[in-house]
Amino acid sequence: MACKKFKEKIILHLYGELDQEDSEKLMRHVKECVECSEDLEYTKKVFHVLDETKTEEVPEANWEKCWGTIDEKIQRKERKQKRYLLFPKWAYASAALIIVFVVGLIIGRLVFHPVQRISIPIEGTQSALYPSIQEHFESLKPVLVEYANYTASAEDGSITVDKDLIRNLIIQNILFKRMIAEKNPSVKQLLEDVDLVLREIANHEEDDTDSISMIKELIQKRGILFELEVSKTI
Amino acid sequence: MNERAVVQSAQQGNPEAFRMLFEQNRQRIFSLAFQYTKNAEDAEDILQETFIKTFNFLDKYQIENDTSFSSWVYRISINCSIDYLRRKKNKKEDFSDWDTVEKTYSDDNRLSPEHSTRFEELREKIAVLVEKLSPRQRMVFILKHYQQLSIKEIAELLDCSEGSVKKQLFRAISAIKNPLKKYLWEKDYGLQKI
Repeated sequence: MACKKFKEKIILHLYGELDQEDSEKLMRHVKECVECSEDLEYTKKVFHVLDETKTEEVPEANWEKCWGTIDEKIQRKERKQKRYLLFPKWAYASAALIIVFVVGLIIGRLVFHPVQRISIPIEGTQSALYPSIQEHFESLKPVLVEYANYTASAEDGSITVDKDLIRNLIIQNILFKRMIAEKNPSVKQLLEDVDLVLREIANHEEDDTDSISMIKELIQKRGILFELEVSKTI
Repeated sequence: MNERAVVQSAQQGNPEAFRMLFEQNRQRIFSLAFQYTKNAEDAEDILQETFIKTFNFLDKYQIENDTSFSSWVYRISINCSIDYLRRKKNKKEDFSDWDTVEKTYSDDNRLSPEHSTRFEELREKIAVLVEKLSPRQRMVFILKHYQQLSIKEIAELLDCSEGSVKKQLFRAISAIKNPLKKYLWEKDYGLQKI
């Protein structure tokens, strides 16, 4: 154990790294210990061999080539830095984040909340409402046809109207008009025209031929009967 | 222009000043790298790596620091050398015994029979033994034996304790002298059997 420590000290001693006290201790031990004495002698010889063989000349380096490589790498780094100042990394990172967010949003909406087709509720309502409106239109037709075919020169120049029926038709017409509201403008317009005609019918006297002629004209001008026929194809 | 002023100018982005620092320090660094690697190309690579690293960390060097710029660069070069050797060792095959070493040398014609002298042979043997040391042990040995730095200086350069340097040095010398014992005795280099 002691010898191992002294062997370490032999190397330091030969390098001149041992203080005087330790050197003296080592020398005293070496005088008494054959193994350490031999080790000291051998290590001295190895140091001698190492010194002898270290004379290998350091060759001349290619300084220009070395500097060229260094300079090129420095220039490249500086160019990179300039590019970084123009488009710093955080800009790329932010752009990437925004893209990821937007793509995620789109995918999320498509997968988890599919975009519902924007449909005019009337189409849905219409499917239920339409037969009733058609029925309403059908019940209007005999009345309107009678007025449309009115001829003032006929024997009986008056039209007898069932006022209750007309009142019911007006109420029905108003209801459909509200239900349709703005959802189907063409049907709404037709119902408004019908409303106007029905009110005139409800208000005129049986023998008021002028009013009857005016109603006839109104039905014809607004093409109400034609519109009622067309509405079947909706 | 003193070193301090040159460093300051280089830190302010003057390329000429940086080149001056390269010129002032290149020989010392190249010599160490060559002694360390025994190869001029490797030494040039280390020199380049050292100065690229120096450039990258130039703004971190404080002029008011106790360490001179030369010592600072020298320290960088030591770290670069150790890293370089570690990378190279990972790629290179490991010599397992003397036979492999002998074969490698004769295959390389590094030791041709015509020019082979005992001295050259011994130098090659020592080179192989030094090559087998770990990168850090080899650096301690080179700094102590060839650069003749003190243990204290080596400890400062390697950023470790003096005790650690002494241990590394002891291991390095032992790794060289023990295999040489048999060889020196067999080849009769003036050694008595011990």
